[in-house]
Amino acid sequence: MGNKRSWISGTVVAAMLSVSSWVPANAAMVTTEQMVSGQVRDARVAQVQGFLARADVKQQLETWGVASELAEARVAQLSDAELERLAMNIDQQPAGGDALVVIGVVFLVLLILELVGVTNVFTTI
Amino acid sequence: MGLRTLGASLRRAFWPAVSFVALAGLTACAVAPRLEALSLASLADRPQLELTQTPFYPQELHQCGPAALATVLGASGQTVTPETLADEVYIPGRNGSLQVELLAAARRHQRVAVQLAPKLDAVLAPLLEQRPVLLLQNLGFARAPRWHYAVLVGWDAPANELILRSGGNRRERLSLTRFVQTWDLGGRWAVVMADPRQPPSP
Repeated sequence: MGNKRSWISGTVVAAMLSVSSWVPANAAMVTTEQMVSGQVRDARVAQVQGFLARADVKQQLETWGVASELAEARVAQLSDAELERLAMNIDQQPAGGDALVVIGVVFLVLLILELVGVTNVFTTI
Repeated sequence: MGLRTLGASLRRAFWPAVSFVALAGLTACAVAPRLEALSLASLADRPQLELTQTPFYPQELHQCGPAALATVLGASGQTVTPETLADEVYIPGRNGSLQVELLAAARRHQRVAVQLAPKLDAVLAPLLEQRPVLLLQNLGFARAPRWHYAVLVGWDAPANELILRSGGNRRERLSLTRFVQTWDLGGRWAVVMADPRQPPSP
């Protein structure tokens, strides 16, 4: 009986020792090859995403009437982060340019009010 | 009889009316900002300031992006015409220009567009270093926006007004209240052009 017990405990000790000696060896394996291959993969994925974003944004600019060679040059100026942000929501981004239209609308309203006789802003009209 | 009931209803309405007027007064105070109330120390020394040397390019229809960018690039020492910039930032199908493309076009002309903190004093401070500020306004409503780029070139604290190059207007004087409204609705976006060799002080 005592012999059997010591056999079991010996096996357990051997197993634990082998496990503990295995763990660092395994970690060393991960840090070298797998990490490098992971980084290469991440870089490739980013490259492909950047390429797709570039194509998306360029196509959208052309749809909006920007000449093809201008669109090409403009997209080339954007950083990867800017491209990805644009590719995600280019239609929702504000496009500034409308001051004259607003002034026109306000002026029209004033003019109509004046002509109808509600206001008397332009005394010379 | 009729007069007496009228008097009674007026008495009943008196305190609600007083509290309504007081409340309206309070909210008016809360939303009407004053230039003098800002923490910017130099405002006390220079109640009026205007960068009169800033170039002015009157805007073509919808092309406030190229015009405003040409204005701040010119002030930073890079003379570029709005026509050149229109090829780099204007989008015919959107009747306007995107913020990201303005930043990219600045880089193309050897300038770094530095985005400012979304606070009023952060937007005024660059004027002290002779840097006009390019900013985005929403002249419409949150649901029906009218996006517009303008260039801040000065302030007038006694009148509580700001001075901008805007659209076809060389010196637009805008009340601070109206400016804050339009700038708030535009997402408080503002940039200055910096020569990479002379970055702005933080």
